[in-house]
Amino acid sequence: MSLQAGLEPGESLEFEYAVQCVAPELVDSLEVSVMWYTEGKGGEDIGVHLFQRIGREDLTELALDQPRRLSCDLPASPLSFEGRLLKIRWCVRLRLFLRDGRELSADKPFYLGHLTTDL
Amino acid sequence: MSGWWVVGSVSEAVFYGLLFLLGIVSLTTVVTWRVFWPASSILEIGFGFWLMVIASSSFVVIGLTAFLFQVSHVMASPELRSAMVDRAKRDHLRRSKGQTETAGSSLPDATILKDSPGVRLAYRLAPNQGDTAKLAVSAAFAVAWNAMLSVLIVICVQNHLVGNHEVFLTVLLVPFAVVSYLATRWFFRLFRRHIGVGPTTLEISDLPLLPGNQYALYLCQYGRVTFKQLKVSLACYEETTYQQGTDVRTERHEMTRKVVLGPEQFVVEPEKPLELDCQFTLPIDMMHSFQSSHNAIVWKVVVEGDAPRWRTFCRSFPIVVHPRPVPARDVANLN
Amino acid sequence: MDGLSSNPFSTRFTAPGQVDWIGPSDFFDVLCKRWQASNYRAAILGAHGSGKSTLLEHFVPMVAEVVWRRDALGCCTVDGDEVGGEGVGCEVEQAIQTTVGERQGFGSSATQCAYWLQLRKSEPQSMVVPWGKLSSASLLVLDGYEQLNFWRRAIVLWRTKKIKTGLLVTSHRRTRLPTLCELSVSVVTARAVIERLTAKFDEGVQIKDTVLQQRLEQRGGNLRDVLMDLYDEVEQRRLGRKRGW
Repeated sequence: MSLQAGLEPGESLEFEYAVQCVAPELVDSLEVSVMWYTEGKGGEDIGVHLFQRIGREDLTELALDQPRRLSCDLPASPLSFEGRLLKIRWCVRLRLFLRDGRELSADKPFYLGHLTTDL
Repeated sequence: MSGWWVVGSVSEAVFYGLLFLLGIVSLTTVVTWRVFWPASSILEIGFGFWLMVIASSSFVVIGLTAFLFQVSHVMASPELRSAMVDRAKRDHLRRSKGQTETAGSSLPDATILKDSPGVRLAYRLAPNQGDTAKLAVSAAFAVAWNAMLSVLIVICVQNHLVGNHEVFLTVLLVPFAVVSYLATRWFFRLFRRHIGVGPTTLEISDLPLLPGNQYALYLCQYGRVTFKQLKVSLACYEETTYQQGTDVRTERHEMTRKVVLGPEQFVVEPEKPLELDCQFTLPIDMMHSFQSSHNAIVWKVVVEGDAPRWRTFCRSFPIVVHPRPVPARDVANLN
Repeated sequence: MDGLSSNPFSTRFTAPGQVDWIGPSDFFDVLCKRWQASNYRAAILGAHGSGKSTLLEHFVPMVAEVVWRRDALGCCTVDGDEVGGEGVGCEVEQAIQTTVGERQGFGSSATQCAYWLQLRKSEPQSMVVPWGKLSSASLLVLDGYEQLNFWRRAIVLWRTKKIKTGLLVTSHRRTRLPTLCELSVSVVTARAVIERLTAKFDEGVQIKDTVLQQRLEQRGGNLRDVLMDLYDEVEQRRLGRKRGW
């Protein structure tokens, strides 16, 4: 995957992805999401801003190793945040569901907003 | 109320509390005498008996109601009580119309905070329930325990009078009396502190707050106290909830704090509550409020005071900070 | 990306199921044999933070398919998907029926359907066991069995025996069920867990065995608490670096 690293709320997030080194006949479906998740001492929470699922039928239209482009407008919140107990992180996640039941996933993080911790 | 502020309020609470206990004792005496010694000629069922029951019941009702009223009077200012009544009416109206809160957003809902209009500024902030909840719990416990102890004392004394010396019951009264003394002392300490350092009302010019904007705060502190130091701060906390095996724990960390008013010395009089105005500006790039299942970022206005005669008090008022809005554009262009 | 490195002791890496099981290579073979010998009714014993929930996360999928699960915060998942709400509501019931129905012809060694409940300390008695769904082909997993009072435990034992469903529990103290295994944390295990957690990160934690032993003793053998302390230390160190200490 490739995309811009630091983004602001309201900006357009553009990215493209391609799947290589996986035989297309092994893939059952593919999910792409733009999401945030929390990390830290507490339980993990997630929020999905953009979600796209490509089923087996749609996968044949374009070869998996050919780049597919997506874009979306980023929301105002939640902003990326690096606290002590809690961190809020944004990423683009690609998840492959294989026919033998296995799942492969890859994340590409990005930073939404620019924050200081001082008032 | 007349005379000395604190003594007056405490005396009233004591009076109504004693009236309540007197009602309990007399009602118990009358009822148990009839139940356990029906053959006795004392307190025979008739005009006198029922008069005693009615009088005792009225003491119980009047004493308890006035006592609770006195306590609630200390816990909230008249304006706040009025706002709470209005809010209850609006909640009822909203529920009847089927309006529900928005789900699925990571931003806390500011609607509830906006339910309470202010007198000088747009909104009145509700304090965290910690302080008042303690007073309410101590009042309820002290009343219930003393009532129970009174009943037991009456039964014990009656038994002794008729020659039935219940040693076990008599011995049991000792630890019960100790608990009663401690509970009553705990309650009056909290009560006295609440009276001395009266309710704090805080109003704000707008909600939810947005980074980069300027806001006004209005503080009104009731009571009768000289503050060595009083300050108002804006504080932000991270809160996380996590499982520790079968326990669920919540941990909080203060991330940042900015003083918007003080620290300064102030004097508060019962006839002349302290009124303060201040303004503050939020930075452009600051973290907004956040709420999810296990995690939260919480903003609060914190009022802290240090008074010689009273312990340091701290009252916090939750607020909501939203991120700066972005211009509306087409959503999710997909290739 | 600067500032986005993870703390290796964050919950997402240390939660039960995220950490690999550290033990002898034949551990699970022995466990499966004991599980069969116990007639599919047994208890995993151990103190707080000794790895009971972690062992469940590795062992239960080996012997059953998890069709319904409720965690300590009341979040329900059916077949891995969160359905929300507490207890077994209409959506959950329907999802269970669909999932179990689909699995009727599923030819696999793991044919038991597992219903998994994590009991909360604050509300252990409000647990909702889907008794109507249990059968001789299912397994009831109760994490935190000691949270139940005497009567609740007796009811669980009696009903599961009557339905002939499997029962696997975790507990801090001995139960009337046969003991599948008893867990405790040694310095060697703690060291191995810490090394596995920090292997993927630049941020290591240098801690001597003697210090680790002391920390385990201070925390009563609770590895989870030790990992939480290490989380705080890593964050403190990062804060110091940011401020140029």
